[in-house]
Amino acid sequence: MFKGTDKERSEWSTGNAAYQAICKIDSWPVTVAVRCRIETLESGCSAFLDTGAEWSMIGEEMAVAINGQLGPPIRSLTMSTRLGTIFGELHRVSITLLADPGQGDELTIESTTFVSEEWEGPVVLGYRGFLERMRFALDPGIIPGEQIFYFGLAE
Amino acid sequence: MNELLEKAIDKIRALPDAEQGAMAALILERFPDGQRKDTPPARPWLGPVVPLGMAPGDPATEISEGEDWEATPENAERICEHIKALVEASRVLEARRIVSAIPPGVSTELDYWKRVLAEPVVRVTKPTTDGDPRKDMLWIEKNADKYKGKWVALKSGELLGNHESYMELHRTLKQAGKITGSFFFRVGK
Repeated sequence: MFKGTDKERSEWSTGNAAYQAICKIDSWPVTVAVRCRIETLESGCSAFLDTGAEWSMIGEEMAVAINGQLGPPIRSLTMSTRLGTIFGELHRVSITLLADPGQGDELTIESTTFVSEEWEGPVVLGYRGFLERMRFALDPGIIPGEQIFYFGLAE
Repeated sequence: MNELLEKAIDKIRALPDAEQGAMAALILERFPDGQRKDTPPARPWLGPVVPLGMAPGDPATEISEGEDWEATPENAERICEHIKALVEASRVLEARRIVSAIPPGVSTELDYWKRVLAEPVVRVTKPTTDGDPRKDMLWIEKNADKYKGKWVALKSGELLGNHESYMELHRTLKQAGKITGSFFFRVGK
């Protein structure tokens, strides 16, 4: 999967954290939920890790919470989502993947995120503008509760 | 066909066979896919833009091959429309390629597209979590049913507060000095 020596391969991840598999965020069923922090909010939240999503997404409540940290809306556009077509804007949003205590460093991604008041689903971490420039792996573990999400820089 | 191209082809046809072959090899070497190898396209938005699954006349196809669109303030609005259409059609790499070739300062909106279509920047940061997230997950599994439709704030499996409004819960915990390292989760109805 990764080039380099065994040592380099084992060190690609800079941090890791437990994740939830096949669960619900709010009322939405998600396959993989990881913990993250949006911008400089002092609290973390769950996010749907979705490699099939074009963009990361945040909805109204989170958008209001970080409103002062977003630039002005320049251009609205439509986005086709699994919940239908919605309006919103693309913004540069800093999202930090949280590592469990003692499990390495966090990873902060200055991402491009679709911000929409119409989005009622969970925070989504999508491919374009977020996952495309990082390494990550999911270890499903042997028994439920042992799932680990590894993440690191793509260098 | 372009008049200049027709003249060039006529001149090549007039050459001896050996020279025609050499000319063809040179063209194929320098223009293997329609673009020069050694220089980036001066105006990348001029390429053929009719995409798979889109018909001519769709917004993303409005700038057609042959139109000479310099990145000037006068052209900025139409280029932005084209970028927006590409993004809405999930052709982000194409849109990114176009805006990356445009210098900053042409227009506010083009600068916006340059910023939001840039590749993400990733950096390693020091950990700030001091709670035990696994205890939060266990708490949710056991207790979430009691808080349907509400946000709950947790830290190491301890409930710090709950409210229907994210902002209200955030404000309450911040005032109480409990916000740092907390984990917010919305329980479904």
